Amino acid sequence: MHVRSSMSLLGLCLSLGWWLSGCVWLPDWPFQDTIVDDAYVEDDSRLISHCTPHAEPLLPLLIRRGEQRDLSCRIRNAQRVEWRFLPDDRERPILLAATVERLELHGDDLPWSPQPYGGTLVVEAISGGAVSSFTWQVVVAAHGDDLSLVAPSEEDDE
Amino acid sequence: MRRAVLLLAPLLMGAECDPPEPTAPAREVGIELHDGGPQRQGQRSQDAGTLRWDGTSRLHFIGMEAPVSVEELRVVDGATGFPPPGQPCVFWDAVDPLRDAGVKADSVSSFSLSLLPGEYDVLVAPDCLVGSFAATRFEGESVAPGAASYVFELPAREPVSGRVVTTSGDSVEGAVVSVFPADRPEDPLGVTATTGVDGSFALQVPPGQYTVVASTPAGGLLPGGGAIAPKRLSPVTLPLPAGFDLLVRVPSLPTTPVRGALEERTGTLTAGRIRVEGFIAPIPLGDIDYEGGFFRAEFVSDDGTWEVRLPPGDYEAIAWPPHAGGQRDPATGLLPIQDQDTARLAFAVEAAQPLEDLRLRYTDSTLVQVQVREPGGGPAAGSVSFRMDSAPHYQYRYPLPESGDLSLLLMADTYRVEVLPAKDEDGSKRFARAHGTLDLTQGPASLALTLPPSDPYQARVLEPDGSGVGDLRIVVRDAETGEIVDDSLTAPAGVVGFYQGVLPR
Repeated sequence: MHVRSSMSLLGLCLSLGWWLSGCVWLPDWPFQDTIVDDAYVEDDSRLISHCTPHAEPLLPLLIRRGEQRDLSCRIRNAQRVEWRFLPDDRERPILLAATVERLELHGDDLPWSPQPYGGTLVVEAISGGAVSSFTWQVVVAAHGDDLSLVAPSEEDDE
Repeated sequence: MRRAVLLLAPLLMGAECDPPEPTAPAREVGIELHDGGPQRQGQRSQDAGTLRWDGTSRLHFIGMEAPVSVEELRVVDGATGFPPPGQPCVFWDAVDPLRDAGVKADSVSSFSLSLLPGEYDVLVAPDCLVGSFAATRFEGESVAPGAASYVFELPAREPVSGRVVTTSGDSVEGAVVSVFPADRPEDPLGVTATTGVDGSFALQVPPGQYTVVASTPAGGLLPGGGAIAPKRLSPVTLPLPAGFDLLVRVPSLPTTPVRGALEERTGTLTAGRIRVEGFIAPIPLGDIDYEGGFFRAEFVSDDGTWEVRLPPGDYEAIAWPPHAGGQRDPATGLLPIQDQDTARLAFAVEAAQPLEDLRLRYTDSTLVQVQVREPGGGPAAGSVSFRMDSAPHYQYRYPLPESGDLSLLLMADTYRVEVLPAKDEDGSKRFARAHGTLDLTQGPASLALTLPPSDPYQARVLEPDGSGVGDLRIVVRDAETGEIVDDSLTAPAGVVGFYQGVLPR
């Protein structure tokens, strides 16, 4: 009984401490609620990192007509940045954006086709002799209303 | 020992228990967490909700949600009970786009995926939408914490055969037949077929109601050089009764050759991408009246000349100049400016009257001046990004000169402008980003922006178990406008998960 009382009191004190977080610090507490005095300076030499959504051949990105997707990377200290899209059946890529960290990719800007098609979207950063890039495999899908302004069929051709 | 802790606890809490005095107005911002990439499947980019900063120098905490590791993901063809041929794609769509994920099977048909808990609509595409195997949508799939297992059984498909013929009964070779769910035109089914020499096509779809569209390929021309007016049938119940074929009769419209050129601003022929779209005129066709319709074709001109056959109607040809690019001029060190603007040409096509020498010429772009100042009135340092609101939605970013005044040329459009302030020499940030809009549709324009007075704050990102998350990108957005106001990286060592940012007043 005595032990249970002490434990309850301990729990009460700890709960109070938690409730007053910001003014209490106990050793081995899950985290330190104090200001970090030494200014933390981001020390990051990578040209490109943190690309969203995840990018690799087995993580394809679907974009429909009329849809917008934001692709974003953390890009630092690059002299040149280009976002290029290359449909699978073409030889020359389309340059969509330059020097920006975030691409607003609009389905309507990509080459139009009544059939869905694949393509590759690359962001490439160059600094001196260093080149870094990320690649997304993109599937561009047509919208069923793309040709909806066609005069409706009067006769059923079935 | 316990007694000692109990006695010490009040002392430790002691005199410091008064909440810190605010040094700045409290405010709320939206927080996005961006993980380090596919090698960090243990974390996933996510919307971390709202950070309520109380205006004090207290360290704030941001909790990260743990993803669910999908341990089993299988796609099964309901007709055979076996995996479909090829490498299926599975697209997971959530309300929050940061949670969206797409995954493709590897060569042994296995998937590797982590997802954040929540509700998803899942599109399962056996051949990644670029073949002829119908995709299936599974709505409201729940992903809950803990190991997850998903088996998607694709409904059995039924064969559909048909022909595309002209209204006079001639076979149409090379027409593209696309099929969409009748009630969800935005949902790609991934089923298309191209007609053969005799106009026939064959495809397989699960029983249901569909929209069927027969059209020319993207370039607007059939293999023989002719064109057809697109034809849309909706709704069509497929499959048809046994023994019936789907007959799609497309108007046999006369087409007229239209030839033109694409020129740079200087008049030199140039390669480029051309989109022709417009309305086909209504015309009587024997025993039926064709009421007209929409026509679109897109093609690439390699040598600056172009040709397309069009039915009678009113059209517009559009060519977008290439993006100015991001490579600095080696001589000047300056980034190139967008000195050309969109080429547009409206024209009418009449039967049997070929159009020759239609010239699409890029026009002059528009002068813009942007002035960026610090709150005290001095010139700001950093860079400015510009995002077009209309197609082709080109996006640029230019460094600010020492004067803080930037002059450049852009295509006529409205733009969202974002100022990314430079850091101080010691790497610290003083200002949050500033935003504005620019309207160049009526001619040259200028924009004056002032960086917002900003307050530094410190925060730490924690895993659910309380450990810090290092090397995480923090994107801070204005809670009302959604504009990005700051961007930081958490410390990978030391106080792991710690970062310093700035918030605009």
